[in-house]
Amino acid sequence: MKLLLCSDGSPAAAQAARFGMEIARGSNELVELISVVEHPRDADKLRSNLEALGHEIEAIGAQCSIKLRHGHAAEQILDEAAEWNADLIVLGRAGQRGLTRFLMGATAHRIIQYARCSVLLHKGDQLTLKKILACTAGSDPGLRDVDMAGQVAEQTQAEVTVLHVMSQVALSDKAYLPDLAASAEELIERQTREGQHLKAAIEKLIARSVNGRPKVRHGFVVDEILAEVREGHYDLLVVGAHSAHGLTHWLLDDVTADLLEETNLPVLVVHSA
Amino acid sequence: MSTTAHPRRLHLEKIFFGLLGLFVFLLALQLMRAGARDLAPILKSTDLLKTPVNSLGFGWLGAYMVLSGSPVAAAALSLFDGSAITELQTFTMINGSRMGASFIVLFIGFIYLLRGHEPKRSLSMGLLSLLTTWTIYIPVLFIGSYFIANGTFDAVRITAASKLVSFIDSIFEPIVQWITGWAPGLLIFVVGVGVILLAFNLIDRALPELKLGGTEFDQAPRLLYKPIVMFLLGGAVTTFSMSVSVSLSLLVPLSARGYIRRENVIPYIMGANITTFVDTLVASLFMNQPQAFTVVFVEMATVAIISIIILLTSYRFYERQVLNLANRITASRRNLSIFMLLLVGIPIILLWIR
Repeated sequence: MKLLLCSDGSPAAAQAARFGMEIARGSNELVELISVVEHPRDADKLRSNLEALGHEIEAIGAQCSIKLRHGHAAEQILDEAAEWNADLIVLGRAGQRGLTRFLMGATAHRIIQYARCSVLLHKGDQLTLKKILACTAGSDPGLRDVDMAGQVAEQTQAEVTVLHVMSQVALSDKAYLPDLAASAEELIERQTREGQHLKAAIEKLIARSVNGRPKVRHGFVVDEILAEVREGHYDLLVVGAHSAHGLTHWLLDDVTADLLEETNLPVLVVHSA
Repeated sequence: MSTTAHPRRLHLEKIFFGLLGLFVFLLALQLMRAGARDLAPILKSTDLLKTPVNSLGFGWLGAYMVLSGSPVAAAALSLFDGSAITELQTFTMINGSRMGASFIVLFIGFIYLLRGHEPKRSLSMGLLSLLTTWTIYIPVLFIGSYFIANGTFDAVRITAASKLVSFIDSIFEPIVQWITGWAPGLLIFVVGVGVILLAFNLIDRALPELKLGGTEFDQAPRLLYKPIVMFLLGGAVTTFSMSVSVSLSLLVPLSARGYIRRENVIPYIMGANITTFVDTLVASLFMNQPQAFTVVFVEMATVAIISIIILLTSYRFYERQVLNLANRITASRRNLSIFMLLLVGIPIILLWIR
């Protein structure tokens, strides 16, 4: 997996890069460290910062290259990811307030929205990566999200919980009520649509020799994912990116944006393109 | 031999029912207006609808009795036209008719419950419909009453052209005269209510069979749509179906398994709650009182304003509260019994409060 670790010289970005190193540790691929110089006076500071992080990466036995680009942060990172063919962009979100937070949030938001590869947005001080929560809405994009979680778990020896939230209510008397309260195991056993999907997701993890378990919760999608995050003590949340193209972009709710806003966990947003 | 109905015949049948429905609808309005003129002194002497609170309870209970809000709203306009109730009372009676209209969905669920089905399955959709309507219409009651009392929207007054009204009167006058001959006074209003129920039945037959499948929305039960999308869909579908309960039932074929995302259903009901007034708005055009249109317009505008404010500012909080309340009500038979008691008790108290 080709990792592009982004740093703006802040402690939050350094923590994000270190979290990324956990994924890089088990990989033979080259890691690239990048900073974007938006003001020429910052160039030297950013370069020395990248070199210090580079030494840390080499200390864990991974190979890395350093790159400084000039211009608008989001645009340059997106261009570099596309040119270098990165599989995963890792960036941090600082806990600043006011305008700084707004601007940094805007950069992260733009990268998540327009990246062609997956993006990991790191928050807080989390550095270990042992438990991953992969959320799946169903269908092929959902399986791709789980597969991405599997790739990360494969390199970090983490275990993966595959979560599907059923927020349905009975629309008519014909509805089969037990499905609206069933566990993942019961849905798999009954071979319902959700059960079949969860089974396929777990098989994807098994194919990567990753330890995974399915889980189903019932309630509002965003609320239940956040509740699972709180209760399960996870290290990483994996979700699919909001549909970026066509009519569905305008029609469908952006669950990913809600989760990015409300959780303090590192979030890996999977782009299925 | 094929037993499939010929499409052209089906088309003509719908046109026939449509025209007949419109004719009976206008006849019902004329009958209720004639009855309201005789009803006005009776209502005044009995003090049955003395205050706007009484008319709220009257509209609410009326919707329970006829299992629909639209006939009661039309009756409110006729009473206003006959000077039996004031502008504000008309507003509260129409408001009450909507608060009682969702009862039909809950009532059907309650029948299933009595047959031994589980409360969550039997009542969830009816409860969501009822609670969404109540939580919107209670603030609408206060804000709309303020608008009516202060004449905020008094400039919005539309009536059908006087020539059209005269033409309609000339057609229906002999029929109304004939019916008045054997059903005088109070009875003619009751006949009018019966005739308007028949009119809505005929109009239902004339409506196209709306099928939402085969569009982006056929996955509505599975995917999570933006609240505003479901809000607009609910409003659009109800413009044609003219009934919230019919609009909700239209969602059933979309879900082979009878499920829908709870995130999707509440904004759908919110949208439906606005355009369900389309038939009342049309009825208001045929009243002698131009304020009749204003009253219905205020109702629609206030519902729309409050719904949009909720959607734009606090929708997530709102939907959680509605769902939590629905879950609490169905959590035990005791809670459900208390709720059903309130459902019947509140409008009765409102009707008799002095």
